Amino acid sequence: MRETEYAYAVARIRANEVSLLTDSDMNQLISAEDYGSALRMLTGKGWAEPAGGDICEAEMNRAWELIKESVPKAELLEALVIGNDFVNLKAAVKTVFSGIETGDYFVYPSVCPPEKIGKAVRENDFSDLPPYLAETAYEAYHAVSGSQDGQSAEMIIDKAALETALKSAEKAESELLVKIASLACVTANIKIARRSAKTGKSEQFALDSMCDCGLTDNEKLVAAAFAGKEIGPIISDAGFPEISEEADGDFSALEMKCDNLITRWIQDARYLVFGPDPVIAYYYAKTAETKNVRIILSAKSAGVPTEIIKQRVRDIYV
Amino acid sequence: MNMGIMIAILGGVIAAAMGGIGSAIGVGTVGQAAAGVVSEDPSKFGKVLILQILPGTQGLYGFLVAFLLLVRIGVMGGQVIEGLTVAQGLMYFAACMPMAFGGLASAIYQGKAAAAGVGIVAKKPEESGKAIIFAAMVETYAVLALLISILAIFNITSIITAA
Repeated sequence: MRETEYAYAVARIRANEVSLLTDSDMNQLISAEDYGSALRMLTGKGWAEPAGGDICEAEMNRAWELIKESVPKAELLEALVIGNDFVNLKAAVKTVFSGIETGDYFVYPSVCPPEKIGKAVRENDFSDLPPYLAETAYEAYHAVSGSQDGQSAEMIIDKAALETALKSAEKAESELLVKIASLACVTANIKIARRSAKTGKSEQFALDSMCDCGLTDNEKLVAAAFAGKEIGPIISDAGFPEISEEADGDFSALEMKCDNLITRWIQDARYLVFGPDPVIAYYYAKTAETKNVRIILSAKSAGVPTEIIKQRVRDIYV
Repeated sequence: MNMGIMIAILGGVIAAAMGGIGSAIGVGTVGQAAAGVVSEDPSKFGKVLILQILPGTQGLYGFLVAFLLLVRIGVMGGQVIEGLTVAQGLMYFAACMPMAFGGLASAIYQGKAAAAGVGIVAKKPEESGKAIIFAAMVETYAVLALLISILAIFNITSIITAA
């Protein structure tokens, strides 16, 4: 696809970037007296609180709708939201087998309508689901219905989610999107290897759960994690030296490092005029923004002190 | 009609066509970007319109070169230069080429520069003057191409008449 075909989309994105929250907006939000005043501040910035809905989810929906309307082929950028389809599949499988209402646990935006996923799982008929989801849904459903193994179903879905997101990113012809999807795969593999070692699972379980993205040497990673050795050097050799230090540390520090790394990568797209990268950057900027807002709002409603909130908040795009 | 005249007309046609193609691409690119900004903020229509107009000039320059050529060789006045040789026709053809290629390339790149300027208008409308300057810089090369084509057409006519 010719990069100039994104001229319309990039211009719309630039016009919308002015309404992204700045550092000073974030600081004001952190210093807000309570949850209510933080929420008022957000609505003053144009955030719309849906009746009975989640204000952050509504913003992400708005961002995805904007992208879908603007880009020449929205299906090329589905990698941005395709992960939510798998989150919804997980929610559907869990809720159907627990006998509770499915709809309350769905997340938006998504490629496949969550109601369709819920219906497919309820009726044990996956023929209406898109191919990337149907096989995973079938396997996860039968893992639970056959052996009552919820963990195995979760493992199948998580693994498929990462592999599908990476494949989908490759369609977009954007190095940025592939880099972000690859980082997600590598981070997930680090967590699986270390968590499996810590919880006494077998090495084979860890290997089966890990994403076969070809980015990390999974066997080496698992061997190091189970032997209690440092995995940082393996991650560095895999081409991700930026997170090698955090690979052996606290998971929340690793997640924060990844979020900040993505923000750093997307900042280069601020100066691009054409191509999908500015659009992708906007979506991730919005993701980081809503993540921060969610952290702040949760902290405000729990009465967490300002200093602690500041430590949790991620870097932002603008 | 002799071969010399045909070659000369072909030069004019190429200059007009390539300038027009370049302008269509350039104006189209900026138009897409401009539509994106206006769909979010219609008050910026005036500012983005100026940027959209900029890559349109190469089409006009190509038209001007073709028109001058047709006048000089007498096709427009109905008095075609009799006995225009192939070499003379080729001279007119060559005279049109700076505008043809300069117009095509400069219009496309000016369109890209202007589309980038639309981004400036979207984020910092108070800096729209700078966006126009960046795009207008590309115009220099279209103007130079136009000048050399016009000078060549006029001087070739003088050479032919003197001979």
